[in-house]
Amino acid sequence: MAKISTPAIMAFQINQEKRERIFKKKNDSTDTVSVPLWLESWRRLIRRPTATLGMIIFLALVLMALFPSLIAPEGYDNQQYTKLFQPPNAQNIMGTDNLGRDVFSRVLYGARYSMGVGFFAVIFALLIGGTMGSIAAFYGGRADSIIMRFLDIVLSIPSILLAIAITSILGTNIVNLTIAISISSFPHYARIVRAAILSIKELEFVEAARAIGASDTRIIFRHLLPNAMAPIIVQATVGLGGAILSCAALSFIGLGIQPPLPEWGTMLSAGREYIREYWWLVVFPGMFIMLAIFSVNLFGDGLRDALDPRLKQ
Amino acid sequence: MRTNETTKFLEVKNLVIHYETDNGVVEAVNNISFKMNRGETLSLVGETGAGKTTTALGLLNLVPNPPGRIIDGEILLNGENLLKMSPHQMQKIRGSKITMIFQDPMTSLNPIETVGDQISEVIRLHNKVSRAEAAQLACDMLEKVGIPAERYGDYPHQFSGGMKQRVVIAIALACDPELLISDEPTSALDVTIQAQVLDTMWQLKKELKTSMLMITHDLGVVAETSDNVAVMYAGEIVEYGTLRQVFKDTKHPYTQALFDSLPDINKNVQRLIPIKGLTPDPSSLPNYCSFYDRCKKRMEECKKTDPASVDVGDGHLVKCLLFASERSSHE
Amino acid sequence: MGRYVLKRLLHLIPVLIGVMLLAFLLNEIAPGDPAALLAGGESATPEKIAQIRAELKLDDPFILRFGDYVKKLVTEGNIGVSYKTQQPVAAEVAHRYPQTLKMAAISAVLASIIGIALGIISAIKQYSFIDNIISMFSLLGVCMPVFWSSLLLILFFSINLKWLPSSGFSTWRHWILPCAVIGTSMAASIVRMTRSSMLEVIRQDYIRTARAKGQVERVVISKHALKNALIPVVTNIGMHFGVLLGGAVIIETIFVIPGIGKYITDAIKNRDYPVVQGSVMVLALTNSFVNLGVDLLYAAIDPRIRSQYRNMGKMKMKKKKAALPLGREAV
Repeated sequence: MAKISTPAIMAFQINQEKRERIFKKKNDSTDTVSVPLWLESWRRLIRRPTATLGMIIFLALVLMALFPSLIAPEGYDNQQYTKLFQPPNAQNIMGTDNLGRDVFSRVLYGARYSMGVGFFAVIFALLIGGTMGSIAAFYGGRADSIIMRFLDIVLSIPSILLAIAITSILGTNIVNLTIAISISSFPHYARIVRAAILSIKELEFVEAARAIGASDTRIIFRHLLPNAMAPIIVQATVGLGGAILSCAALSFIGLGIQPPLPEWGTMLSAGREYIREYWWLVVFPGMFIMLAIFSVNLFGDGLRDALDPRLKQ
Repeated sequence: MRTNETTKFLEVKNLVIHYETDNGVVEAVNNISFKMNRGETLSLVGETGAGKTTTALGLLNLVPNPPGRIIDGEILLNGENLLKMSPHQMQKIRGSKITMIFQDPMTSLNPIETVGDQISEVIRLHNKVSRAEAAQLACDMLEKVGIPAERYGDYPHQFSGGMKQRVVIAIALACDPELLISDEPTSALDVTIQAQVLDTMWQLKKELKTSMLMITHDLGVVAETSDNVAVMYAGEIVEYGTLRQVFKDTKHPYTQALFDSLPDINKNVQRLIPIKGLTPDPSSLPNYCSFYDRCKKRMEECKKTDPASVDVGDGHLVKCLLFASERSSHE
Repeated sequence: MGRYVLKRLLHLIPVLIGVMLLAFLLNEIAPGDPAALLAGGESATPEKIAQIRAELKLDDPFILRFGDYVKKLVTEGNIGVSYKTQQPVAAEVAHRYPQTLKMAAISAVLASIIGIALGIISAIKQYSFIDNIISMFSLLGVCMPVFWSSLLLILFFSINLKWLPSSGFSTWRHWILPCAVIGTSMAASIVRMTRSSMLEVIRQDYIRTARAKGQVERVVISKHALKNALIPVVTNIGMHFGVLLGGAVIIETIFVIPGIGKYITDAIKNRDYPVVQGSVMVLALTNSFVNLGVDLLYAAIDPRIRSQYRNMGKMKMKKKKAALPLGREAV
């Protein structure tokens, strides 16, 4: 992947694109539809081995989250007092915990909580942040400065602290946890959406839409947001990693998902007590937190490159 | 017009430059050769993507690597091959003997250094002068390009595009170079300032008696200023000769097509004649004449062979089969 | 510059008020009757509760109580009273905060030095073996949750090798593991940021200009590229300081360091809301001031920011945001 582009190379590219366009026009007399942009990006994406690796790991984790019972040898709260603290072995590949539960099964079921909370927190944050960012960018002026000031305030509180404060007050359950994580992260989405929309708002197709009398809502949702999607998708992907991390961190300090549910952070927190003798109780759950974040980061990096028009080849 | 072989100031022989990307090898410059005498101005003309800028960067050995690579050839400055020089030797050439004015003044200056410092940097690199002397020389240089010396301490963002390009010119001429390469220095500027900036550059070039390699697609400017002209197409020089030879005795169909596509106030033509088609894909050039697909005078044989450069008289070189019979191959 | 500092300080005021309001609101919606909790929970007599209600003016309208809260905060530094100990939160914070700051400062300084150095190496040796190694480890570092890497380090260095203590804060050896955990996670992020910023800057035209001047490669990198590349990195470090303070909460719990983070987690367990809110506010304020410092540093490096305030005093944030180089908005 050549990252350096000189004017000469860029000139070649422009030529090449022009040529392709004209070539297509010749062949396809009905319309000038070229390869859709998403398909083009997708091709660029899967050409990157790291992005593909990230995607495969991520899909595996999603499958785990959706259908843990298919793979897990035991239930997540299956206590067997005959085999407490078994080290990893053929039957319990990640060992058993203080209640004789199979750590591997718990980790599999745990994907559902960490990733589920992360997923919904991102969606929720995207909705709030996206709306605020769009309003700020679209209306500008006073609305923009009020919203931006507000975001500055929220951003000045480190997000994990804000989430801690919110959950400590709302109480610890899965819904409050999701709300807390999305509230603590929505300013990032708002800023990204605002910046993305600002960069395309003055373009002519928006003027055109306005000229034919499209409403503000229609312009925002039909014209601006779809065209500002690339950076938003990248932020959402990377943000998913952050949300999974927050979920695990809050659970680790006792503010998130409560035992006996097998959230990865909760499992780590419980395993901590036994760290001196039974290392497998802290090693495996943490490894899965890392794997989840790792996969979305790889995928996000790949996406960023694939969607970045400057790196087009 | 031809001069003595022994006094050749710059000689480029069989230069080949490729960009090696994941999507294949882009053949940017294919086996080009040209010569320049001291004090002379040579124009490189051609469409965007013909390899002009790459050729210029090649002379400075600044082709971005990766992906660019100088595959083959020689660049002789006063008989010394630049491509054989150590990085250290080459650094001494750049900025003092060969300098370049880049296309886009907006991005050519470091945004966080004052313009004065950027000029005195090049002075201090190539002359044994103190910081204060260099600053003084830089001030003189600013005045020469038409910027008041008081603006020494200003930053690039405080200047307009035309002023920035004047600063770039000052940097390029600060060390009295032997060869000045100017790469479409005004194409990014407003039409109204283009003439002023070009004028400043010309005054200084004449004053300093600098040789100049001018890259442009403005044939009007070429006609006014050049001694010799090289027409580039798809990484090759398709026609080379004196201004008179190329402009009045045009041989190559591509050069002819270029002239036909220009408006001419002396002729009453209904509409301009564009060159049909597009330049070939530089990552998969044909093994026959690369202008074949767009050529009006193409023949059956053109598709069979890649023509060699032919001297059609007094050093007027044409790379076209139409003239292959006139003289023996140049190479 | 003076104008910029002033402007930036004025911008801080609404942020500070907002943070206080937010903290106050969190206290408002916290479950339970503050008066009852302050009186000692279930054993409190109604008279005692009523007395405290009157003392705290809990029956006043919201806006009056907020005004009162701000007044107390500004004049007395009163950020609330602990339900559990009935002691002012401020005193406890003042006592504990140095531990947290010490840890954060050591980690941040180490991480910045190591992170920037590795990031530069990685960028200038792009795609080399060493770049791949650095990139891989920095990616892993970014993905490792600090609470997990803490446990792994304890497992390895304290339990298996018995080299370092796993908890406490009395000697310098106690600080190694916590600082290593926070430092590596922050360094990993700085490496990635520096690398991408460097790569972005290296392909800019003004770097080519610097090379064309004949500048030696080392100076091109250290003078022209690095300074420009550091602008977004510095911002990133500033923003990371907040993440670092948040991470301290978890790290202090694991390594049993009696800093403000441990104070917060203990308070959460005891449902001691004023402590949580007061401490979170102190951390948020610190974060705001650190970011102010970073923005000033930023202006010191980047003349474009400075002159925006010099030349167009009335231009609002919109312009400032647009002029900022990459990375700022994107985080």
